[in-house]
Amino acid sequence: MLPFLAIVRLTCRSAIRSNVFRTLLFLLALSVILIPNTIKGDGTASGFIQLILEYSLGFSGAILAISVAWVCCSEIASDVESGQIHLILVKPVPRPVVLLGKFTGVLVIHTALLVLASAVVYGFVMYQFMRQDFPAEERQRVENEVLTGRRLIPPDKPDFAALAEKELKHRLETARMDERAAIEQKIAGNNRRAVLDAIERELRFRNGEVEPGGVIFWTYSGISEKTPDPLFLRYKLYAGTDGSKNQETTYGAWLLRFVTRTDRGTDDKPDFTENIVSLPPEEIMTKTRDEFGIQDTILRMGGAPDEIRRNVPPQLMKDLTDRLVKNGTFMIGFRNYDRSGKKIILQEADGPYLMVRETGFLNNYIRAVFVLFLGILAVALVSSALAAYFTLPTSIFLAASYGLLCIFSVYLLGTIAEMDASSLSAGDKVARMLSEGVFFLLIPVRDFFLTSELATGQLIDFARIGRLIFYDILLRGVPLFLAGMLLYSIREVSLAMKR
Amino acid sequence: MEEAAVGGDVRPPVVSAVGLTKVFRDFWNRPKAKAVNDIDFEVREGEVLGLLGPNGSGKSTTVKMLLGLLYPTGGRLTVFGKSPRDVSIKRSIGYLPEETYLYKYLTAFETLDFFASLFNLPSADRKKRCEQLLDMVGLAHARNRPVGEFSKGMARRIGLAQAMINDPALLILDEPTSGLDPLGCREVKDLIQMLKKRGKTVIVTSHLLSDVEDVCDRVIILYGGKIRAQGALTDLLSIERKDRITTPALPPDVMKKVLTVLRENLKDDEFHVDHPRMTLEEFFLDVVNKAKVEQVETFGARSSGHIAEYLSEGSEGNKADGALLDRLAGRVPEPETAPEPDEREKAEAKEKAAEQQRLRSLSKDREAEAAAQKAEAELREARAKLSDANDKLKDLLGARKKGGE
Repeated sequence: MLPFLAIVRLTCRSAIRSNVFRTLLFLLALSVILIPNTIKGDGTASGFIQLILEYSLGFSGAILAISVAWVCCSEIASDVESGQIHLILVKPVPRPVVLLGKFTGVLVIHTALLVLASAVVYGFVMYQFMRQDFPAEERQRVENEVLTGRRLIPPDKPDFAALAEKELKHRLETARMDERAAIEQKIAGNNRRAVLDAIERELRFRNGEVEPGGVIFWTYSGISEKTPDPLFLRYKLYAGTDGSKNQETTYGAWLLRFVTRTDRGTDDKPDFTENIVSLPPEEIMTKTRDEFGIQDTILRMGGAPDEIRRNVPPQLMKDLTDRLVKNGTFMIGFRNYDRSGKKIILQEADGPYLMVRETGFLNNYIRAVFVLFLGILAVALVSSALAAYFTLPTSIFLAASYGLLCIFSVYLLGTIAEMDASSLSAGDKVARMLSEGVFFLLIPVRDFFLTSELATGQLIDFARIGRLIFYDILLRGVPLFLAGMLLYSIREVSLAMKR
Repeated sequence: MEEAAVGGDVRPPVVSAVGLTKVFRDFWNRPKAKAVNDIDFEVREGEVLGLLGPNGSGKSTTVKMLLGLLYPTGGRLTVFGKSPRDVSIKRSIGYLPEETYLYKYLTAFETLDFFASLFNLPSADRKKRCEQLLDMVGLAHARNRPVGEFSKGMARRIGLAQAMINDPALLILDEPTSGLDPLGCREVKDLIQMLKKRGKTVIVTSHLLSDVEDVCDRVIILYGGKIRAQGALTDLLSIERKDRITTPALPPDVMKKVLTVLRENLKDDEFHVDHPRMTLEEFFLDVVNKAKVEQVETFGARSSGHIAEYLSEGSEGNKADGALLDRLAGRVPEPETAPEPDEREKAEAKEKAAEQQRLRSLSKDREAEAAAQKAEAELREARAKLSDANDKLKDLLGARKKGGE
């Protein structure tokens, strides 16, 4: 243990002396101190706090990820090239311990910096929130929508596969003779699956379409009635099918399902009557994510005074929740009132999500920082593996290439996944398998930057953290590191020495 | 001691190489250079072996293979009976590389402490050893200076100190005296002698032949990756066909007689008479030692002349331990009257006795008396020299004892 710790300590000291590290440290200080003090935001309190969170923490994470890659490469590879490693490797310390010691040293120092930077950012956010003279309503909004940890609940989805089967059957039954022959020819052999997939995609897309004057409903399950919490709906909608990026306004109204318990049911098996109530139609901005509090909207519509809305009495919250939630389900609808008669589309990826508070902001903040730490760990694992075998310039080049590929892998993988397998030639299929294999080795670094989730009060749940640990760290990072360690143990270090 | 180290095969070899070969290859795995070409050698316990050769002869490659930093392409190489890549043997090895690769930002003390940590030495022990080593290599005054600021010689001394931190049974010194001043060279050589007395095995590579000549029992001369000569130094270097006579300055008439005798027996160009010279090293050390006595200030390395206590344990400083060490090492204990003069001095004394004999036979009966007187003076001088040498060694050991107290 002593040799290991000695190497860890030496690596920390050496890292602090690296010029690149010092430069990055300076940038880190800038991102922690300068960004929060210079940004203006969109004028709203929540916008301001969100920007501080997203930029300061996001930049800090990015800088530390770059720094950890650089320092890992230089600490591990340059020692071999300069010959300093000779004096260590002739001592009774197994090579894996040497590598692990260096890796740990770099990780320790970056973790310490991450903790420090995130503590400063947290302190600053809190300080700004306390100090600045936000209007009470704004303050309430920040507390409800930013400084919180809310679980995202997606709407229950219909069984699209079954629906696709049904649709195909329906099409065959209702088709004219010649059309039916065409469809049957299409689904002959192995192509049935592809046709069903195409229908399923179509159904999924159509599922979020609201014709002018039409209405759409979503149901959410698994909502606790025991501890009534404010419910929020997060949505994003598109009007028409034009691909332009410009935002525009449209009109629509949200429909709420109110339930009333009748005397007919028992405690175990309650009985309800339901009725749908439309909220007044409102102007809605398209192509932008927005959210509103359900109970709060009802209170606002009902003309509740601000003091009550800011601090809803628990009994009132319970009464409201009891009227909205039935057997753990909540239902909401949307009616399209677009003035120019356009369709309104709510894509599957945008939910709309129901959000329920599950934990406080500090808890969620710590989770986000932990995920950033996992990202830094992943980068450190990969860079160490590369530096264990390659020279300093090569390993830095490879680490940078790997990082870039990881960033773009999301888009590239998406393109590969969208390719229609049935239309590929044999060569294309091989290329596709090959690229999928390469991409399997890549760790999507974007997944570790959860600052925008944090900034919108979205809970970073343990399942997600668990998936990151399993797929990215254990399944990819650790095996790569072990491969590097093996190469480090068997290589002839003297050959790599620079004269 | 010499016999035990070289001739006595009772001790297990510390290093054994059979058919050792190292081929460097290029990127396409094509052989580029045969740095070491099928060499066989053994290094026995307690031996000081010199590995000689011009640049590029394969010395460093051989050393790096011994340390597991390079892997042999062919042949078999064992160190302490195990593969050089075995981590366990490294506990007993000390290594001073050709260039001293140190972490520039660490101070001298931190450097030694770091390397001591790699041997898992407890904190108190580390501190003690580091202090003693710094004192031994003359850098106690620079203990808190970053080694990046050190001169080459000072860095070399730190390198030597780190090689000794684990009190190694096998010390491998790659060009140990390069960058050192003659004083430093002398100290390194003294240290090697000291280690040899304690039964440690030392492998020294050098192209400074005088260094090797002074300390090594045996040398291997490499050229082009092959062993060109190997053997005990005394065997290799003595020229059986020639004799040398050294006397105090002779009065002209005696010299005349000697020359007459020589001319009667030899051709003119077969002999020559001149004044013997000190080596420059001897002269230099003499000057510096005088300056030291006069306490001239210097900012470089200042060795106390103390051998680190933990290193001298078991040598003369501690006779009981020494005897135990000897028994363990299977060596015949040395006479305890005085520290043994080194081989060179012994040889010198013998030579002088022989000279006296020859002088007598050369200068016939009528000059016998005068010659005998001279020879006696000669002998006295030889004895004086011998006791002088003994005194020097005693000084060294006495200082060590002081250090020990």
